[in-house]
Amino acid sequence: MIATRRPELLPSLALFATPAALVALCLFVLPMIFVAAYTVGEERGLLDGVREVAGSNLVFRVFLNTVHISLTTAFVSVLLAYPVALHVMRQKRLWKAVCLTLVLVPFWTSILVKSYAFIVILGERGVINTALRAWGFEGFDMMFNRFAVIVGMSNALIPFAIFPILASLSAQNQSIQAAGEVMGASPMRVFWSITFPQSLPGVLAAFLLCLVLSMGFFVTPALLGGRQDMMMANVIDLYTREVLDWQSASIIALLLLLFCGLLAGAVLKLQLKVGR
Amino acid sequence: MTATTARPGLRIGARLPRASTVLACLVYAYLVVPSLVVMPISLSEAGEFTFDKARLSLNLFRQFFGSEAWIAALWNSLQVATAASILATLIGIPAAYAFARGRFCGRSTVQMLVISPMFVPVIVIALGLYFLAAATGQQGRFTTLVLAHAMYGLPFVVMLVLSGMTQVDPALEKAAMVMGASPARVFVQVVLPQLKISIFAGFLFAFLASFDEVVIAWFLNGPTTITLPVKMYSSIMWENTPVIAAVSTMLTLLSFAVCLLAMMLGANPGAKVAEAGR
Repeated sequence: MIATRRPELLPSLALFATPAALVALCLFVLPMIFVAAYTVGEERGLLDGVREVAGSNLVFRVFLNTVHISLTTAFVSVLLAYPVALHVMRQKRLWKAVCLTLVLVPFWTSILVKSYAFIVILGERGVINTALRAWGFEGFDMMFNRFAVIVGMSNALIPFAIFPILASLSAQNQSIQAAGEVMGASPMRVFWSITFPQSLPGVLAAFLLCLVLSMGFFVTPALLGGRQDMMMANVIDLYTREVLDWQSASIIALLLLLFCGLLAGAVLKLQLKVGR
Repeated sequence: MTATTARPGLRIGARLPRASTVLACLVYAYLVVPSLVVMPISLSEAGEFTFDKARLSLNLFRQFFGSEAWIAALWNSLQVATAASILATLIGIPAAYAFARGRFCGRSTVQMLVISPMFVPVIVIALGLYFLAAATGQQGRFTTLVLAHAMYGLPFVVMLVLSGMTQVDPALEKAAMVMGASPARVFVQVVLPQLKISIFAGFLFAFLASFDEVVIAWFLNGPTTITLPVKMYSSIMWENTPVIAAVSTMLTLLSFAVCLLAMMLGANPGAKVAEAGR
């Protein structure tokens, strides 16, 4: 171990990271600077631009949509992810691998495939409505509304919610549960007074992660939602390519970034607490 | 607690695991069934949902492979994803090594910078890239998209190789260095051979990330660089042709193959990626 303190055995390796740093600078930081720069328009200053965006009815509605859809989606995702995390944790070897595959394959399936699948399932002449009509019921209107967006988005986000919860469940000291059982607590009681409270940091982390991710969703609200379900990403696209108002697009993008940054900061702080 | 209060609890408690298992299975179904539903549709004559064996046909796949526009989009995607993932892997491996073992000022800042595209909403990155491409006249070019996707795939490679590095014993590197090997030689001859699996997994996921990426490709697309996801997105948006069912089936099978391969290699990339997101 004395050898580690000799300077020639601690190579700097700065050159090894240089290409990656360059890529990050030119293709990530520089674009961000461009977004920031475009918030100041040629005709309107930054303040006028912000005033116009803040005063826009459309942007305000879209902002409310985004908050509502994101909160609901994050809540639903965490709620549904919890039993899966609990189930995966209890499995052994092969079954654990099988269960993880069931989570990982949707995790890595294109969001387009998932959105298209929900069009097929929820559509006016989709799987559910066809089945209902075949049994003599009336069909439901399940597409191009908020319900479809939330169903599609939580389907995409559940895998993201599972992993933090699973991590906090697996990190628990099993002997505490065992102690509870030995002393005669029922499995239900062991779960509610030992397992669940200890997993709360993971649950909160999963919730915040889902919230951050859902704020930036683009494809699902565009394909499954109606005009009234536009989210911030969609309105950025609209302002950039259709209205050609790059200033407003940049201001909305920075607003989105700010929100996600604050939430991500909360996640990091939480992680530091958990990692203690 | 007396035995009498514990007993009814035990009975309720015995039901808890079962109830949570049932719930878990329902959620597995919710996750998996949508992608599976698309498969029988892709095997039908004209995109209707059917289990009638007599009406199975490869008509939609024939339509896909017979359409110049779809084939061009598939070809573009394959080219972009291959180039971008190779680039991301080549840049990402030495970077991850430097993050794990290097001692230079600003190391953690650079690491954060390289990983952060994963946590910034893609739409914001796409908008910035759109402005950058417009300002430099590089819009709609193949190279622009490859570079953008390399940046997008880089965090996946770095994360996987970094987690692979935790399994590499630093004593071996020290031994090599004591015997006079240069840092570059240590990296190539001592470290790289131990990282094979992480590198391959990183490459696979960078490839898949690029191949499935819509938003950046949507903002940067030009007439000659329409990728498969972009073509799929606009098709669902404007015409909703049943051919999409065939494309979806192929994409699902690709994701399944990649995940299976990664799991067989012993890497659990989803978990790594999502844990990083905490």
